[in-house]
Amino acid sequence: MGKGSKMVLLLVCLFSLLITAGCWGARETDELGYVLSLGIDKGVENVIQVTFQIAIPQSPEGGGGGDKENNIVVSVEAASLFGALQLANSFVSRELTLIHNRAVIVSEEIAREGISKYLEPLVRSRDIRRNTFFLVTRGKAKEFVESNQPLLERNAARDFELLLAGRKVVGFIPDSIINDIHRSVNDYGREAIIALVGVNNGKEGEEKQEDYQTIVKSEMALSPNEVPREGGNKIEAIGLAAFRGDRLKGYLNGLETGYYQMITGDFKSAIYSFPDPEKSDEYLIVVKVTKGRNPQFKVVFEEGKVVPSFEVTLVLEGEILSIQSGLEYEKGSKEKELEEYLARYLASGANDVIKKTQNELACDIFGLGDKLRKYFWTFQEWKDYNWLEKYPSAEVNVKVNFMIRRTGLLS
Amino acid sequence: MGNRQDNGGEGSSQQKERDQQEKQGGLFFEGIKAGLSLLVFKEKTPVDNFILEGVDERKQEKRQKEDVAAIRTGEGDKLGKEARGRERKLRKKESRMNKKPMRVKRLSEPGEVITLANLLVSPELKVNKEYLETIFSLPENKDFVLREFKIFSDKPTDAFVLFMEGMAERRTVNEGVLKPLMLFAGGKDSNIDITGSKMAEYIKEHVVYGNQVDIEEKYEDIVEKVNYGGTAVFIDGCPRCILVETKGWDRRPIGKSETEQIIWGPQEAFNETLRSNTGLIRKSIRNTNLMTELIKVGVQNRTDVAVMYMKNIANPRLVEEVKRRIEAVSSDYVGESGMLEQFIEDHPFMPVPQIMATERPDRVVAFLLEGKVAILIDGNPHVLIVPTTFFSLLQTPEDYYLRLPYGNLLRLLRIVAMFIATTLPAVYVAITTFHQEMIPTDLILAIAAARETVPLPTVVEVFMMEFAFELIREAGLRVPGVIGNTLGIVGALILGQAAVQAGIVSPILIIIVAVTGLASFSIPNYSMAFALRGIRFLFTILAAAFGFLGVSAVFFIILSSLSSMKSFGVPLLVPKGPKTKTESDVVLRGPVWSMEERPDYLDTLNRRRQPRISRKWTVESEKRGDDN
Repeated sequence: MGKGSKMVLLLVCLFSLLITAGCWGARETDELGYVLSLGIDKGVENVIQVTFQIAIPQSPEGGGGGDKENNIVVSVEAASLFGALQLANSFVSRELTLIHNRAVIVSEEIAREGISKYLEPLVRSRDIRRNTFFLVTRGKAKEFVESNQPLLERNAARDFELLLAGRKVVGFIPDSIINDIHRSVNDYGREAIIALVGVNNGKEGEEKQEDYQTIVKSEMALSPNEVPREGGNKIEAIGLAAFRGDRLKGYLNGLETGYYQMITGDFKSAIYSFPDPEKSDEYLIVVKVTKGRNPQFKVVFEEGKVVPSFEVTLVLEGEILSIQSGLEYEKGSKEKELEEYLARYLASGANDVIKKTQNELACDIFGLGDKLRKYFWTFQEWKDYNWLEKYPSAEVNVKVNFMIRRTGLLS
Repeated sequence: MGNRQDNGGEGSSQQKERDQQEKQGGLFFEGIKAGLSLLVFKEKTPVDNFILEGVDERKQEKRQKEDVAAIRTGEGDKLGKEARGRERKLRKKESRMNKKPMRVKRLSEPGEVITLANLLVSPELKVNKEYLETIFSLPENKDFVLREFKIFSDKPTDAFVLFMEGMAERRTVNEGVLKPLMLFAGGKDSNIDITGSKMAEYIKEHVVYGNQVDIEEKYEDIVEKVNYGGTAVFIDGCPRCILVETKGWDRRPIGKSETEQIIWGPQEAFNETLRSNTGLIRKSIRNTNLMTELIKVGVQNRTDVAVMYMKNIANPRLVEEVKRRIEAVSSDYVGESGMLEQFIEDHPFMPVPQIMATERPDRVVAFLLEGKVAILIDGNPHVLIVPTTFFSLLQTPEDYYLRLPYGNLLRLLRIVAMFIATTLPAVYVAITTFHQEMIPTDLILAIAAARETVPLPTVVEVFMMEFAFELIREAGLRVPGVIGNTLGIVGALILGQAAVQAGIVSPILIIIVAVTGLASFSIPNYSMAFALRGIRFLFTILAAAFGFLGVSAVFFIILSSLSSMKSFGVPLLVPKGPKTKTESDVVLRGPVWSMEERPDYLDTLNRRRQPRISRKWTVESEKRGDDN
């Protein structure tokens, strides 16, 4: 057998290898239907109703017609999430895939019954990334998915990404991805929280008969469907849902979520309006509050005592954006006074949130239990200690260390 | 050469096994085996053994002889088909060898046993003329001019000169040979004996002006020199021939480098004349240690091949190996460096070149001073450098001429370009057909939208565009004259634009193909660029079949084959695989003053390039200048 024919034989073998191997996993980009977000509700005819938001690919050059729909929303009732995905292919021509799914939304109803059974397949699936957003909506998830028609973005996935990435600047949206939630649901040291979203139906706001200070305070103390606004995308994300195990227990509003983040250390920065300390009925001081350092936890866990006490020190910094009264707080000893005032104000807010989670919700969403672990020799001991039950009776005190870094250009 | 013998050796040792398999009908098995033998790493010689050494020839011969003996003594049946086949081959070889002397015979007079090799100059001018007329087929062969004249002296003597029209310079022949012989030969000192062979001596010393004059008596030497532009003078009564060097033919002037352009640095390039090429190198290395050894290759064309190296730096065993391989090349025509490269390289079937060709004298000089060997071929502007490493194929001389940051920037760019040129289409195919989750949602939606009007699978799309691109490239090269350049650009633009509008390919793919094309143009070595272009298709096919698994499989195959390759005894991936001592000059380079030693893998006679402190002015000294 000559060298030439040997080579030919080799090539034939290799080529037939390619042909016989085929391309099992190969799918063209335009054969797939990319699910951008999905909502899970209680079903009527079957166990659950799953709503898929499917992207309609649009080429960037087609710019002209801005009115063109860039996604379609379909709902299917089935026994399971993946069953619904398959069933949807009975009327959606493209093979639906979750590889580009950006958010999973569950309704309040489902959240109250327990999210574990819906979380598990998401974590197990190879297609779904663990950094997919997991959200709770007040009302129906279907309504939320349908209402999400982004105005600024081309596709809904990017809209989610930007909206929820807003937590880096606004402070009223918590980080809420599948991986973290899955871990906290099964943790003995913390409870899960999920970002709260909802649809704003633009209802008429009734005029509030409250004094100036209370109104100022309620600036961010809002939940979805409460943001006083007009226009824009109908969905909004503000506040969080606190869980006990895998069941929804209650909500924190936007303002409380900010304090929650300060205590956990997830806080980046947010703008707060404070009543002017001297002319509190008329004027505001607007400060951009930034995290200076990670919060410091001091745990006192004495031998004899059953529950520990915590002392949390928040280190925050601020940039003055506005002093409406025109008083020169940035000068001399006044600055110190202002810092103390702001520290007191923020500390009382934070302590209120702690109280709320202890008394009203009875769930340790801050993960204080994680600081306690080191006092136990074995995991079994720690598990048996049952911290999550004891959290409400723990003593938690928040102190704030505030420092003004910038006063703006006016002086 | 070593490689060829290797194959021969394997062939005979594996033959038995193969025949058995054939009997079993294991054709498929053999296919796999053949495939494995190409893919599996085979260490030919230990790495630390510097020079590649071929399989022991004697062993092979001995084996063949045994086989023949076995057949003759009747044991042949045992060995069967296999030995018989080999015997047939052997006989063929023998008969071919028998033919050879006959060809030589034809050159001389029929009936005589004299060959060119033992023919000597006769004292009789007439006889010499007859000989020459036979050898050069005069007067039919019009290139050779035989001019008869009489030498001016007391008693005019018959003589003639023979030279080749076009190779010998007309003016030198007239002024330096004919003129003195016909005019001034008479004014001699009568005391000197100028009879017989002494006459040649006298003419050499007193009459002809030529700066290189030889006296020869063998026709073999005479023919060779006349063939290379010399002028032969035959004189009646003198049994010697005077050969005057009169070389001079039309040549291309030294021009700018066309294939390896740089902005910074010398611009001159080699041309087609061996001697001016060696001169260009010598001009830069004014050192008597620079050696030029001439070897003739090509049985018919007898081209000069110059092997240049630094006597005090290059490893003698390397030089020996280079000379051994070139001398062992036996072929009718070896007139081009690319052909010689193919005759002497280690792995002829591998895509990556193992010998670098360059047309820049400055580059050759740098490599010579590193301890490498340069091979120049007459009539060729490309000089071969051995041994070559993979990383040097991605470098240009400009990397060293530019300041450190700029040079490194270029090198990084080129490394990235190498990966783009080989894998970008493959990665695109893999991502869009297998791993859609890997790219941002916006991008996948844009790709999907662009592909909506395209009726073909992505792979077909890619291959179509790649093929069109290669076509433009090839056509642009072959198209005559100045339209070449415009054809390339216009063709690409129009083809791309039209293909997108017709909905045959997606616009994103045009970008992919264009970037890939650009990247492959930025590979400085012409052969290397070819290699990468070829490998790219392999990557794309496997990516279409298996996604990233295929891409990584090709990476594995390429890397393992690269790491098994050698160039004149030096592993191709040196200094990274195997790891040798490096002087911060592999992918990125260090400052020029930090390259203190010559490459470790060359095992040079003189290791140190410069002292540890080569910038002596940095050392604290009394005579410090006023620099502040």
